[in-house]
Amino acid sequence: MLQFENVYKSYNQQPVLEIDNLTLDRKIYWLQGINGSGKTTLLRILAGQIPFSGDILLEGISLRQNPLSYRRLVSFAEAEPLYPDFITGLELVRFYQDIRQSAAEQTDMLINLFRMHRFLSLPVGTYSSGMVKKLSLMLAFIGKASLILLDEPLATLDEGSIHILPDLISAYSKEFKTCFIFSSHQPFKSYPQEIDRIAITNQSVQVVT
Amino acid sequence: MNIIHTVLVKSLVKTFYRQHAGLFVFLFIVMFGAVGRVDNAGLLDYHLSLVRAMLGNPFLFLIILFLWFLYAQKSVQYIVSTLRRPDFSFLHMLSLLGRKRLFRLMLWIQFLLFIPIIIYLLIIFIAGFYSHMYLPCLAATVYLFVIWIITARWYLFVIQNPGMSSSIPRMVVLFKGMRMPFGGLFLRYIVRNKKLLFSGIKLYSCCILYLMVINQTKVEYDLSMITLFFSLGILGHGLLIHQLRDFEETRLTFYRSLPVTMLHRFAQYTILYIVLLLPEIITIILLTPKYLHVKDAVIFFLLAYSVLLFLNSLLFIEFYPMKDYLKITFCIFFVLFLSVLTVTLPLLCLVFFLSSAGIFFWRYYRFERVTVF
Repeated sequence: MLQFENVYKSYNQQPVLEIDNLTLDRKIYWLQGINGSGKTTLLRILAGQIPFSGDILLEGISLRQNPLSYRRLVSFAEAEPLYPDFITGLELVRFYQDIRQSAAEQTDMLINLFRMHRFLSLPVGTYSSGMVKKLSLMLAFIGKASLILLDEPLATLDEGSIHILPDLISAYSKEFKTCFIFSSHQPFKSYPQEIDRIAITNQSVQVVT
Repeated sequence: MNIIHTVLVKSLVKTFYRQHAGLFVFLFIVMFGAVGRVDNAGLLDYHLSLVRAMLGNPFLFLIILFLWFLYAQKSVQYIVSTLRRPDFSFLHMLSLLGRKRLFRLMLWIQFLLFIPIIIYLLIIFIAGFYSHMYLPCLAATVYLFVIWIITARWYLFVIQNPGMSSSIPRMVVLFKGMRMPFGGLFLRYIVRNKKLLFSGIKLYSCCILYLMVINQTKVEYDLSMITLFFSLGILGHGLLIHQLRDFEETRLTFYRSLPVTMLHRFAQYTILYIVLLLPEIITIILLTPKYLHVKDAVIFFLLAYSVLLFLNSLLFIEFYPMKDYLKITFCIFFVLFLSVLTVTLPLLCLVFFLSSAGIFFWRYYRFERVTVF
């Protein structure tokens, strides 16, 4: 489902990631590694946010050869999301909904689930960091992406939302056959079905089942 | 200076001037570098005549007062946002000082922030007294004094009421319910955060174009010098473009991973820069065909448009620090100068257009803002 082909990434001439060949099935993966091991870099590469050498294929679609089709299949929630202070949550939701061409019912369901009603009409600048995090998670679930990447999804979330996330991951995984890769330093309160682990050590990536 | 003054100056004043250094450099170049060489008159004579014209013309006088207001608003926006930042939350301890003392401190801070305006007010005073125009001088002083008091009072309120947020910003209400194009985010950013810079650049480029073109005579119709002065204003947009790209790379990173075609992405910028150039476009239309030949009007527009797109695309090669970017901008001015001399401006515009598109399509996905240690 997800293939890495000679993926290489460095910063200031220091290699950060070197993945010769790796294939991931359509599953739920927990990305693990110490601080600075390259978890966020890997997720940002997969999201098509930063350049790298090599190629990544998702459902046979190459990120390098067909960036638009690839991006249609991927969704990403950043660890520390930043949005313009003046934009409202609702505007961002509509923006994503528009680009992802998703149904309004799905968005309404997500808004209900994350209990965002009260805040959506306010500018993001008035949100707490937890609220911004919730918003970014909600945006990542808009549409029917084949691969959803979640960078530290539990950080700064309140107790209620921490419980929501595993259920949502399970539901998307069953209903849309979505593959998930998330990085987290803390375990989920309840696990969404079977989780495989991806370990990053010394710039290389391995699947630990 | 006691420790409270020192900490406040370091936290609020120095950072303000550092963050807006680009704007001050631009204003300095416009006021003393470029405009001063309009004719052979001395720099002082030139500015004195400019101030006299301003004091004698109510419309110009109101524009200057409005610009002061924008500057004051800019400083308020900066100080208030700094006071609300978590790393500056210690400044709320100042509320323990007592109302009067704190107000005096805030007056002092705003005085330091107003130094550029105060210097200009002094120039106005000198020119006003020489020309016996006492009333406008007095009006300008009272106006500045009132703004000074209001802004200091505002800071006092923010410090004494931590966590109290203002109501929903006006622009949010204005844009509520509207479908949001990506380029619109940049316009909203300018309206909220870069009003002064935008107004300064527009005031210069439109005024210089209008005033220099209407002074052309039919007998001596030569646009070389006007093109160069107009180019300075257009290149001044570089300051704004740099900040727009910075905003994009910090607050709009999510857009890069969304499924949007490259053509659509490029089109967003082409529309944005047409909108940003509206004041210049209107000025050019007003001047054509009475003072400006249609062919020259088209060249002025193409020059402005292609330069803006090119300046934008350059920042996809690398996110140059402001000082390096300004150096590149000066190099572009030199190229423009050569092009004016060799009468090859249309060709240069075409080169800028093609280069900006080429660089954008080549670099967009390859670009990453990296801090090099």
